[in-house]
Amino acid sequence: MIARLLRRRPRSRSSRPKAVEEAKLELTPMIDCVFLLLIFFMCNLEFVKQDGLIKAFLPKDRGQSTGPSVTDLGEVRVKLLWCAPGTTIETEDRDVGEVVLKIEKNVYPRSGATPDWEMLYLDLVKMRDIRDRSGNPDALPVIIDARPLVPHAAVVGALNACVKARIKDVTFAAPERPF
Amino acid sequence: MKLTRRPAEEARTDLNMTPMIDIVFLLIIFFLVVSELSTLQLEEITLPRADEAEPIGHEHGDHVLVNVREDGTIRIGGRSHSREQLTDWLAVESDAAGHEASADATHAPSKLHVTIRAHADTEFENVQAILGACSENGVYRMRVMATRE
Repeated sequence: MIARLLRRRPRSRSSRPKAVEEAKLELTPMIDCVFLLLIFFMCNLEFVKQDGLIKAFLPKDRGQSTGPSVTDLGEVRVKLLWCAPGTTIETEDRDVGEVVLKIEKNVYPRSGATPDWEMLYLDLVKMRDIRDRSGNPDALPVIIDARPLVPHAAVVGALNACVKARIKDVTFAAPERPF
Repeated sequence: MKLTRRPAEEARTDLNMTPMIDIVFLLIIFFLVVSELSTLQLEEITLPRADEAEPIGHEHGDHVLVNVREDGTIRIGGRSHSREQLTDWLAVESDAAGHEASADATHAPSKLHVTIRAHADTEFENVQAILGACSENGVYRMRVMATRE
């Protein structure tokens, strides 16, 4: 009896049903998700590049002073003033080649009221034409002279009007006090 | 002529997905890291609007990006800089970029390009501080970042 038991071979594993042995991991949904993630990150990288750039140059010397401006059309000075609402600007003693724009405190830009950039553009085009007619081969230099508390958006608005008027030589006035 | 049937094992052709999944995972990690680095450079800032802004193309030469938050904080590469630190940092960067040929070697303009990415509502004096630091270090090539939308 014992000898018969010893002689008996252990049960083979192959006797299990075949379906259990061939269990496989389903990879298709995971690959789908991974591809979706890949596409998402690729698209996301593209969105970052939607911003634009406006080129400008700083003066190669120490900068233009904010003192009394010149009276000829050798250069155009765009002044951005930071005033209280309702303030009027004196226009009588304004120099030739000087454009003054008023930016009102607590109004711009949150309320959506913006300075008249179209007027600035038309003024710049007019001045550029005067310069072209004078036979001066150099590009008309424009200096943006903004008060320290003026919002950056207003300065970019003025810069945008210069680019629109095809003025390439745009510089910024140095501040009144040294840095 | 005698046609023999192929064994069952030969007929089963399984596509090995493992190398493809490896590559896809590597790509995902790459994009994750790159997007993380790009957010370090680009702070969460509301940019001013400008219709004439040129799309950002391929960059030539040495470029640095300076972010200015609404409260005037200057951020470069995810770190805040004071105005003095900015001046020192620009001095190092402009020297590294090299200078243009000039008769006056001490005031030769730098080849460095500076891109200012300032919040629309920040006061212009915060941007002026950067312009001043650029001017001190002979950097005159600058660009202002804006949104076209």
